[in-house]
Formats: sequence, C-alpha cells, structure tokens
Amino acid sequence: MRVTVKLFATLVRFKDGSRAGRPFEAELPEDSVVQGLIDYLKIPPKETHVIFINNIIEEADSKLKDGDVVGMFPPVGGG
Amino acid sequence: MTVFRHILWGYELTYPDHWIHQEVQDADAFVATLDALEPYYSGPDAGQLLVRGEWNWQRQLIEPVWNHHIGMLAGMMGAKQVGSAPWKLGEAVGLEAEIVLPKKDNQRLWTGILMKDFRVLHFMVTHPKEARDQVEPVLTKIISSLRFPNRILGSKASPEGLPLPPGYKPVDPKSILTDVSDPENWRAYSGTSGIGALQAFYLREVPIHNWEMEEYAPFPGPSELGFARLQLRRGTLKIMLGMLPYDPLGAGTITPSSPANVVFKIT
Repeated sequence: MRVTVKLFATLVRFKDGSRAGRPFEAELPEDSVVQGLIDYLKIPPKETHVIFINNIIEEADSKLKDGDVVGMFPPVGGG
Repeated sequence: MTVFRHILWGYELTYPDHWIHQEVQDADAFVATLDALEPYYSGPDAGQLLVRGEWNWQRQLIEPVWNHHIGMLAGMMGAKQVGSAPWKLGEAVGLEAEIVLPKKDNQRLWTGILMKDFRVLHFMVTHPKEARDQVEPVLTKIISSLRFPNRILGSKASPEGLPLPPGYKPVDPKSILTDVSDPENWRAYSGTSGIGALQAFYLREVPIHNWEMEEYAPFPGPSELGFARLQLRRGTLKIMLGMLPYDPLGAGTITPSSPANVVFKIT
C-alpha cells in the first residue's frame, strides 16, 4: 500500500531533501501499522511523539490503509 | 439520555435526562440534584461524579500519574487504606481504587484515571455509603458511556479560520501583550479555560481546520517559555499562536491547570 507522509520540525532530517510538512510517498506492506512506517524511515523510537493519520491523533500501533496521510511530530518542536 | 461533550478535552459522557451537569472549578460534575454538590449531602438523591482532565504531553506512564493523583486524594481525605487495580475502558487504560475514608465520614469514595493519547481523565465518585445500591449503577453507566470522538462539533473560528475555544472573547492585544510594537498583526482572546485543556483542544482542532502544525512548544515543557506556542500554516498564511497562562488570584502561581488567554500573530 502507498501512504503519504509529512514530517515536521526536526524529523525532516530523516528524509533527504525534505522540508517541514512537504508530503512524500512511502510504499509499505499491506496491514502495516504506523510503527512499520517509522521503522521504514529509520526514525528512532523516541523521536516521534505525535502521529496524525488523516488529521486525527493516533498511536504508533494504529493500522494504516492505502491512501492514508500520516503526519509525524517530534517531542518538542521549537522552543 | 443527555450527551455531554467536552469540546476542549474531547470526550463525551451520556447521563440520565433528569441528572445535571455542572462545572465545578476545573472539573465537570454530574449529579441528580444540585444539592448533591454540597459536601456530605445525604438526601435520597445524593451522589456525584467529578471528571477532570490533565494534559500529559510528556506521555508520562500511567503509574506515576496515578501515584500522584492517589497520594493527593488520600492525603486530602485522610484515607487510611488504598488499594488499586488496572482499569480499561475502550481504548483508554488506567487504574482505579476504592479509597477507604475515616468511618466518621460515612462516605464511599471511588476514583480512577484513564489515559488516551496525551489526555488523562480523573474520575471521582462520592456518595453516602447507604446510597450505594441506588446510585452506583447510574454512575457506572455514565462512566461506561465514555467516548473520545475524533471530532466534536461546535467550535467557532476567528476571521482567519483559527478555531477558538468556547467562551473566549476578543480583546485588545495590548491588554495581554503590553510590549508588542505591531498590535495590528496580533489577535487576542480572553477566557478562563485551563492551559492543558486548551492544548488538547488545539492539537485536535488545528489539523481538522486544515492548519499544519509546524512547531509546538508545550506547557509545561522543556522550552522554559512559560507558555504554550504553536506555529501553524495554511497555504501562505502563517500564525504563531500562544496560550498564555495567568494567575487569576494574583498569588504568582502558575500551574499546568492555570487558566490561559489565547493570542496569535498573523504573518
């Protein structure tokens, strides 16, 4: 399945050439959960703090489906 | 049955039509009669449920949150014995306990906390011991009706399309931000909701209103700003939103549940 990903604040460093909120696509196995996407992007476990799926706050064990838009945010963005 | 929706904390409870919902400081009370809000009221319709929200941005584990909650409660009530057990309701997980009060009180006190994402809801049930058979099933039914809807309708928005918490009124930005040099670029709204509840509201509502959250400095948090800040973008419009806690009593004490005003700068 294919999902759209948006990384924010310091998480942008996990995608070459990315800017905060710029969407890109990721191809994942069927029945993936958000943690699978985090692993795919090689983001360390403690770096993601807020996960939005289609604009709703979800958890790392939430299931993904084709076409989902996933936003990820670190523990503290800005300061 | 009546559905109560807390637009800030984002939960809903269903209670009997003849029961009453009443805000009590930073909590929400559910009672059969307003008399039941009085301490030690012992009428036939005694019994109350109090629900209070807490913002847990740090994703503190449930156990330390519970230990703090139960310690405070037991200390305040003079409880002699406290036992606790795991509690799960839908997607929310937590702990619950019967608190044994001094015999002279003749009251039953049950408490529990439930965690869902960054929100912790604190529940407290009190009633005279002899009213248990009558009131406990009603209170249990109310608590069991807890839901966390993805969207709670009813919030208004500023002319720029930024969601506004209920009860917040526009004020002169300089009345809150005395040192800004460009007040024409600022908007300010004054209200009495707690800063934790406001953060829960904005984190839920901002993406729903098609704003993208670019930065978030929570309060309390490591940034030492002294307030919560969100940087938002929608198309070419950029907003720096601040939730500024204040001390209504003037005692100089700001806590995670202090009321806060909302200000934002448009660029």
